Amino acid sequence: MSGITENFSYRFNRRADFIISLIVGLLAIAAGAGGVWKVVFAGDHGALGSYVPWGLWVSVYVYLVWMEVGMILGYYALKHVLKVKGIDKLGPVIVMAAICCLLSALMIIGMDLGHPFRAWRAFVFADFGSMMTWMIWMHSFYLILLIVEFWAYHNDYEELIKWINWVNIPAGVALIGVIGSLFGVIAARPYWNASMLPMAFTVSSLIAGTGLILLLHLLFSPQSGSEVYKQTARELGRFLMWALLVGLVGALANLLITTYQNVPAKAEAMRLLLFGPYWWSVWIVHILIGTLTPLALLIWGRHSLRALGAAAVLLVSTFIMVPLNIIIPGLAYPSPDLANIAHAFKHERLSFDYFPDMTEWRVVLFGLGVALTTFAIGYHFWLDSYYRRLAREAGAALS
Amino acid sequence: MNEPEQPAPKKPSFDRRNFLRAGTLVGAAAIIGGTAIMRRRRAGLTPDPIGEETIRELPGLPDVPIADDEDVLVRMQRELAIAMAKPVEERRWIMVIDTRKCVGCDACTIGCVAENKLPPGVVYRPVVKEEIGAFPNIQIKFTPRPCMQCENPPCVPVCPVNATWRRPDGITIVDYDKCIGCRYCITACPYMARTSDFGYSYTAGVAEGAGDAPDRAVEGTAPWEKLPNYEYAKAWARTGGKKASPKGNARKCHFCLHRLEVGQLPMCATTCIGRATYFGDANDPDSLVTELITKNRVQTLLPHLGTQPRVYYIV
Ligand code: SF4
Ligand code: SF4
Repeated sequence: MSGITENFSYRFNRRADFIISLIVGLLAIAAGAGGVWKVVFAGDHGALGSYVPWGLWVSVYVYLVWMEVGMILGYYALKHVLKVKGIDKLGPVIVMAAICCLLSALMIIGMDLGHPFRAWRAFVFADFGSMMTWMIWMHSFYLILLIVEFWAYHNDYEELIKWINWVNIPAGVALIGVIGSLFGVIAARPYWNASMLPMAFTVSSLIAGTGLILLLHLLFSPQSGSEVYKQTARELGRFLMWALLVGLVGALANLLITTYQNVPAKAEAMRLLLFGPYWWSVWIVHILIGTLTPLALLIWGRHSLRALGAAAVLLVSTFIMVPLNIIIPGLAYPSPDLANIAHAFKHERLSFDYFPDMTEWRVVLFGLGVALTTFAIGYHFWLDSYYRRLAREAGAALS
Repeated sequence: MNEPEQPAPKKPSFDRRNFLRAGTLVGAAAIIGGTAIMRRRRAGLTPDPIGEETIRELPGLPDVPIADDEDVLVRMQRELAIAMAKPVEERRWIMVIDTRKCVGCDACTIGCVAENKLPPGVVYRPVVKEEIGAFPNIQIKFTPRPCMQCENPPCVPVCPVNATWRRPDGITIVDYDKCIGCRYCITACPYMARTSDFGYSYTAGVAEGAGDAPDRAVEGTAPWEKLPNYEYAKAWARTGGKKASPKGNARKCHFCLHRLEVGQLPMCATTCIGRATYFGDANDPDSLVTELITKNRVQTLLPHLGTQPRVYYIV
């Protein structure tokens, strides 16, 4: 009898969990709805301007896509390449979580468009010379893939799942690469303009995705409580630690090279990031809470499930700082030749100072509420019965 | 005794080999995608000029005598008529700005705002002021910054819907009806020459201060704000909702294309009190602008980016 069926106990099926998640999700939607209304009907565009045209919404979009794709890539890499057996049955819940991230991401980025109702033009009149076109097409394709994959899981079409994996992995890598390139190709923004950016995005995606896999494993694994479950959590924690270390080394190398080069536009963006008015968001939220604490928990608390869970929660929830710290400093500093441009013609939308306003936060809250509500409903009505069936079958195998 | 038949070991559905295959697929897709992007990137100009027709028969100011001391505006006006009589693809509009003459009065900025009825927060031609040196040895440098109408505009290939493109005469334009307002082009312009129209008005909520109701706010916006501008030779009234173009669009300087089409110089060139802004056809060897860029020391902004601006600064 394999270890997997041996300890097969399905625990996360309590009605209370569903109700609580649903209430939290709906509350977030209610709290954020005003922001969405202001954007859609009153033309409010948050604190964005013409000199910092992208901000919180684009960053949250990137963050959610990193998680969505990172989870899928991480799952298949862990399962098929690194042969982590204990996450075998986690596929459907990961695909469902990815779909929820994706829906939320699309909703939030839709809010960012000046003319959201013209988004269809990107399909009908697409210009494939633009990275954004590729992003839109690939993301739509990815959405279809995920939905088909979920359906295949639900109906136990193993052959189909295998074939989808074939496409899913390259499509995911390509999607992340395209989003990295979307920023990387912009020569006008020296802070973004690096050929390594797509690679950095892929690594970031894997870190965020692995963190979420660990969290989903701890919360939803059908083998919850068993020895295999604990062993798998420790293994996932170890992978997460290594992924985080690789990411840290990359970030450090970037910091050192940029500082040493001292190319004004890049170095100034870095200075703004580390010592500007929002220094605390980098040093305290991102580095201390989001990186060093999880790393310490993963190293010294690796035997405790609580520590692993805390590490995953801290890492995943603060990982939004990574895209924020890539996107905003890249925009918040003009070319030295036009350094005074913000003083040439005064308006609040012609400024390099940017901090998201309430409308932006509320739209994000709405988007996250949509994700949580969809997940809760999806879990309750589809995955719950799926896992119950697995548990029943495992029980039958045991008897 | 017959051994019970062992079930064949189940092949893992997605092993390392499949993973490598998937990797190969990524590579192949990347190569195909990359080739498509590069082909598109190198395709260059959009061949069709804008508009139903292009006015090619303008009077060449035959009655205005050419005097040695004629105002440069008169000369540029005459040259404009000659250029407009040529097919669109044979014109090459450039702007020359003599920074030695610029006094930083902002008349060009304001002329542009008035001509294009730019709402608050939208600007096509700010004058950037920079203090050089240390007191008491200081100098102020003025750099008017219209759109550079780059020969190789980085704002064009990034547009996902082909809403921004370069005309055969070299002017990069935005098709307001197509633009989805993603602002990618704004991030791609190294000159910060694109601004987003956030739908502001000057008078919404402002006290009217008239007669017996001095505290009353203007209802909606004042009527004059609703008058259309005529960018790209079309009337764009600001009467629609919050999402009626050009609200929500990326906007930029277009060398007053709508004025050129009716034989008028760009507004900034005519309002410049220092006569520091020159405009004309660089394909005309006798034009004033050709003369200026060949006889003076000229610079372009951020030349290292390879955008090849068509706005030249005499320094
Ligand atoms: S200056 Fe900016 S907006 Fe104008 S053509 Fe060049 S890149 Fe485009
Ligand atoms: S803002 Fe408009 S013109 Fe600019 S890239 Fe987006 S769709 Fe194109």
